Amino acid sequence: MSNDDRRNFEKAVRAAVPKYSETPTKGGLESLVTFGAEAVAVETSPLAVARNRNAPPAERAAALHALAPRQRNDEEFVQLLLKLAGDSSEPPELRSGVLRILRQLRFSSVLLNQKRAQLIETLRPIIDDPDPTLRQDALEMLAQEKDEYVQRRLLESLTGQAPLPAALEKTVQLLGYDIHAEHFPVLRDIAKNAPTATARREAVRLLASDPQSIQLLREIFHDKNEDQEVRRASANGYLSLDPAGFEQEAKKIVLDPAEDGDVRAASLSALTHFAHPSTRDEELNGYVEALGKRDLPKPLEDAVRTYNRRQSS
Amino acid sequence: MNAADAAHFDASTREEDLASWVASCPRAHVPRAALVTLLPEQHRLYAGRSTNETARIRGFILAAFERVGLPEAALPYVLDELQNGNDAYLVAAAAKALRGADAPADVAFAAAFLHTARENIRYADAPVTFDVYKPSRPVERSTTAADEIRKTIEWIGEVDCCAVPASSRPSRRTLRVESLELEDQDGRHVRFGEFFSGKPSVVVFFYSRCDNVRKCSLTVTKLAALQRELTARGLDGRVRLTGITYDPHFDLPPRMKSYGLARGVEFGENVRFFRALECFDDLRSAFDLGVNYIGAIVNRHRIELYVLDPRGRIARSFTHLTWSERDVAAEIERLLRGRPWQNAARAAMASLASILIALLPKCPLCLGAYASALGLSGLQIVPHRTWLLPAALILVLAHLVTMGRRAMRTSRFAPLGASAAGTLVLMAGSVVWSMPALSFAGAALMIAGAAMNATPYFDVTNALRSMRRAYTRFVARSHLAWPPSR
Repeated sequence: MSNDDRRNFEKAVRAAVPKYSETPTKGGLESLVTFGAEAVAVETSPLAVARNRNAPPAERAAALHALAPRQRNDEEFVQLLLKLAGDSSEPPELRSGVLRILRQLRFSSVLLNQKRAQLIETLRPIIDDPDPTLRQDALEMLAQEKDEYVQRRLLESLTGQAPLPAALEKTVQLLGYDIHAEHFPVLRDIAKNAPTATARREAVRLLASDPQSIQLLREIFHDKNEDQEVRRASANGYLSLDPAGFEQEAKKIVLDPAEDGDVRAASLSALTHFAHPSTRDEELNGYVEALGKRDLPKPLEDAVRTYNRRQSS
Repeated sequence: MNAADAAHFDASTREEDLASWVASCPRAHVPRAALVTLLPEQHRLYAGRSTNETARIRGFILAAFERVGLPEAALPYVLDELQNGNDAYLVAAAAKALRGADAPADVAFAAAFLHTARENIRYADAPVTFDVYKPSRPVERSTTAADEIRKTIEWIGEVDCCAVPASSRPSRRTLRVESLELEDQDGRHVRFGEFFSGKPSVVVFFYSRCDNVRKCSLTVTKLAALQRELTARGLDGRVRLTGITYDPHFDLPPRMKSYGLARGVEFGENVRFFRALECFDDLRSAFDLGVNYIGAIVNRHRIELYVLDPRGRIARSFTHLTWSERDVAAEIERLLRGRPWQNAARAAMASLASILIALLPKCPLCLGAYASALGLSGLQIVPHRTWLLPAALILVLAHLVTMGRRAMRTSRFAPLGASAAGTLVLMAGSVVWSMPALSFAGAALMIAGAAMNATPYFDVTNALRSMRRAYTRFVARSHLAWPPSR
């Protein structure tokens, strides 16, 4: 490693440390850089920095981060990352940092992509790790890979056969990476019965891909007792699956003064931008024009103004 | 293990039970044939199962061929996975299956497919196991698709290659879905029978949510290439190119349109994408589509392209393996040329019709000449035959039925009335009273009815009025010197 390379490496480590530790210590950082420089000098390989178990975990992760752009297609470097990620004797902080690096390399490292099988084999046991952050990181990565094993585990947890590996809404979200993940019946149940609006919203959001859920989405869209966010998510799903049916229902909601202002605003916006011209008939035009002369909540006022402007043009 | 069990497997069969049955199959002809019967994508076994469960079952069956022996009937499914698969478990299973052949040379043709699979799976590989079905924990001793492909390539070794099995087969199947309503990419509605007639058609099946780029996306891209190929051969306009979605409830017209446009399809009157609105199941069974569902989501499908003849019948199908535009274009050219015996028959009929038209009497003089000729030839002395009367009656009845159908269609009943009256008079003159004059009058009425029927704009009222005017002029000329001479 030349002096220039060494200086650049030290600079990169200093810049990367805050990404891996919320409270990096000046002393720790200095010792790492010094150690890195010494290691480089002695062993000629910057990997020595990351291998050193005595260094603080955040700094070790930062060292790996700094190395990643140069070493992303280096066999030894990629193998070290996979080993550290799967090594339960290493500190969770380091392993979590390594998982972040692996996630980035999935987009930029040809070598890591060729080692997908090894990556998945490394990640699968981590979903049962005692550390919740590690578990969630591994779940997220495997869900993005549409891994059959993790989809099965997520479904088992949603159907009560196993404890939830993450919060309910997060677990639902993780299944959404794959429409073939056999989750729609479970999602319908969650959309109807989940105790939190966030979980119901995530379930409703995913049901936008399921034509068999049109009726349920319509019911949620009309349910004045449901949370606004959930109703808005149901409107998006309903529009996606049955545009003609949605237009009629959205029109009813816009014309209903007892409806929630935000839901009316969302419905009117959808009618403005997506509806068939025949839906924007005289009844609706007249009503919205009259609405424009009243005091309205801000979102509805904006939606009415946009509608009237578009109609007049 | 009982091979007959395979006939009873359906959507209600527990996958673990099925896996136990597969694992117990010995190396013998009957079990391997039973396993093949479970591979068609449309098998009821896969109905209502998730994509993952379907893949697990199929992979376990394919891998079992390594142990029980690989039958020829399983090859389309094995090669399909190697050429188009994107699931590491299924690709690994297909690679293992090839090692069930009696000898490496028997499957040497698959070497090219194995190399394709190795490229396809390079960035999509995963750890898999066939030692345990549906492992509940990450397994220690796993393999990968790349490992299985490598082992099979090594097992086959360097063998002189041979012909690849054909991916298309000729068939002549009538589709009984003429009245099925379809909606195209612009929201226009048309009946199946209306669109798929008069010209050969190419039908591919796809769905826009397919996550295997080597299946639906490539199929539609190749359809666009086929469109260009047909244009280059000067066949555009003589063929219809269509895509029909497997996912009619999700693939709304705008989705179908953008999916086609993004892959280079140029839509027009003869190039359209469709979704079957209400009766997709009828379409599915008519084509015997290789697809299955969980709810409204496709859980498994094959590549399929059908060439339909001008009568809307399936003339050739290309399934499982990727088809070539040139092969499909060649099939269309063959259809447009027709079969040799059909062409010969059509030419003979055309010549015969020309001769008959030439021989038909076309004026009163010709008619006289023909009557004279027939008289001279002695045709008037045809001896009495007992079958002549019933035969004549049948012909007369056929004549009346034809007239009746046309009268119902055109709402013009005068020709039918004339012919019916003529028939009654003819029967009275020949069968009841033996009065030849009456028979001739009846025959004349029938001919008049037929003539009226054949003249589209013949109006009986106008005809009677013209006759009355002619008669009045004749009387006036004869007796009243009318009109006065100038």
